[in-house]
Amino acid sequence: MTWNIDYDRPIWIQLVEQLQVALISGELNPGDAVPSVRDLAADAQVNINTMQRALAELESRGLLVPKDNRWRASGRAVTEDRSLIDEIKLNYARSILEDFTQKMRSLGLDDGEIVSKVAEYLSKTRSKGE
Amino acid sequence: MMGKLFKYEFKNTASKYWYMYAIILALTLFTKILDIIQMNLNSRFLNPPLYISMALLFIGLCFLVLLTRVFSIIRFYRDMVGNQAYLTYTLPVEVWQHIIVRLTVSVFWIIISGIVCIISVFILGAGHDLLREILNGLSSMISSIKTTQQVLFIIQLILSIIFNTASSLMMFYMAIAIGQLFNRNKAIAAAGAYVGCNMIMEVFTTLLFLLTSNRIPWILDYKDGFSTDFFNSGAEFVNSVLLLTGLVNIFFLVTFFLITERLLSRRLNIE
Amino acid sequence: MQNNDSFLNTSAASADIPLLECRNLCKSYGALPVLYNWNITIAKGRIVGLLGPNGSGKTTLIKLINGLLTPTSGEVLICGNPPGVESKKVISYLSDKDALDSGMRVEDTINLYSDFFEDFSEERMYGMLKRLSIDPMTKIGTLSKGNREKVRLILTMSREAKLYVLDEPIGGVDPAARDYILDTIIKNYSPESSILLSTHLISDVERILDDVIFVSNGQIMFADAADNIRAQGKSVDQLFRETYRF
Repeated sequence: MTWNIDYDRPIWIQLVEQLQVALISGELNPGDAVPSVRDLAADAQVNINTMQRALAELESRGLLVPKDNRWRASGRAVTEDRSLIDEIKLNYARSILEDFTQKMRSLGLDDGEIVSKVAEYLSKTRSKGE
Repeated sequence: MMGKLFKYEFKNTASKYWYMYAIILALTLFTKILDIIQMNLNSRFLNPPLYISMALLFIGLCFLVLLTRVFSIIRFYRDMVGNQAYLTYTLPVEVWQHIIVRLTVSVFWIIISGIVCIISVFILGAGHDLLREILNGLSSMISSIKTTQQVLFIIQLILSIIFNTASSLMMFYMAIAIGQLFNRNKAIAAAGAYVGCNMIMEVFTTLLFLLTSNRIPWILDYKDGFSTDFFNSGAEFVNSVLLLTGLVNIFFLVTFFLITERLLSRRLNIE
Repeated sequence: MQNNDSFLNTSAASADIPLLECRNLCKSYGALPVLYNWNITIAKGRIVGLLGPNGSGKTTLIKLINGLLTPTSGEVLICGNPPGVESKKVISYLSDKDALDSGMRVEDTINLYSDFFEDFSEERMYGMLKRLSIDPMTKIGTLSKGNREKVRLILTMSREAKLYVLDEPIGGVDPAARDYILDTIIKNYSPESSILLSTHLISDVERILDDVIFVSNGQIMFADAADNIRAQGKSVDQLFRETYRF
């Protein structure tokens, strides 16, 4: 996983966000075993307690579930509950939409122009076989 | 823990000292060979190289004894106050253990250097008259003592040498411990402390001898009582001096040790 | 700014003896105070940054913890013990000054550590050496500066100590070595031990810190969890610069 950490926001919150992105983008699939705290922290180059906090938060949101592992007593896995993941996806999409609309409106475009620009862009990129 | 300290201290010192002993050995053998050749040939032809070799050996022996002493002091400074102090004090070892180990190993090497000197001289002197005379004189002195107590005398002599070396070395250590109290120029402060302590000790010792010169106990019996024979009175004199200096040395050794230990454990001031 | 800040780690079970405790700790050289009234508590499982400009008292605190200096007043306790043989058994110390014997080989130093410290793991040490491609038979004096610092670090981290005290572990090394050092610190984390890391290079180090203590002019200015600081919209480095604006 690639991690993008800024230091002016709490790191654990950023870890939660980026792990959620990994869940909804399919980098981590439902039912997948999640690497250990230690490995994830080393990968993100952050403190283990910070990563632990992030994982605990995801667990409390139901996105990660405890899983018995052959080797490790306490491992984690992605939840099998796809509805939860879909909900996250929707929320994420909504916040992207909010952000997008806000920015477009601040450029002075009205709602009609926004919609037509979006349609234009979508058809262009579809024909390019994206 | 102390055993491990001993092991490391011995290893580290031996690896530095063995060069000197190898050189001394080589010089001694070389000189002896020249000597033997000269004795057999009975000519003056080999005198110059022989004398040069002897001179070199003499210088070498002086260096050996001197350097051993100097190294001991420098090592103590470096390990307890200087660059290696960080490592020394992070080891889970008590300060007194550090001091005793270093003192013991240093005394060991100083005495070894002395023994090597004597052996060297004996090797060179073997087969020459001068050596025979010295040995005769020594055995006369010893036989003037009652036979059963000859061993005691020799033991006393050896212990005296050990304690004398130890206490004089300990005074250096103590001076270093005093010097490290200062924030700057620790080495110079140590040197100053040494001079100061030396003066105090000299005054103390002189006073002590003045006060007790009439009341020295004799612990050895002499065959003919107090006699006017040179060797007898020599032995008596040596005996009493040894006893008194021995006790004084032990006293100083213990005192210096306690002061050094206290300073390095309670008032440590490492830069 | 408060100067008697008590710093308690919320993750500590109250029954546990804290790994490090300083109570009203003061140190003066003659009339010159270098440390004034420090109160610190560090529980296990934390990576704590001791941050401040040079000369603020960080190294003095570290020397006090290690018994290289004695306090003028107050006390410092490591797992309940004052600095001494017992505390030295559980503290692994990386000094800012290089105290290794240049004449020794790496292997000899490893044997020394292994002999004197029961908690030293030769396995871990040789493993890390191998990954760094450093030959144990090399003489320490011939190592490059970066390698030398790395060796000193892994010697320190190969012990299973309770308290790791690292004094400026990344000062004077190139960025690649820095990353290696920080990663090694993270990887050797254990919930049973804590790490006290002192540095003035905040931005490189802040990502691995749980908690930070700001010190200046011999006084504790401020202490908090790193993410708490970030919750207010600043990085630790930013807050540090603002606090110590010249």
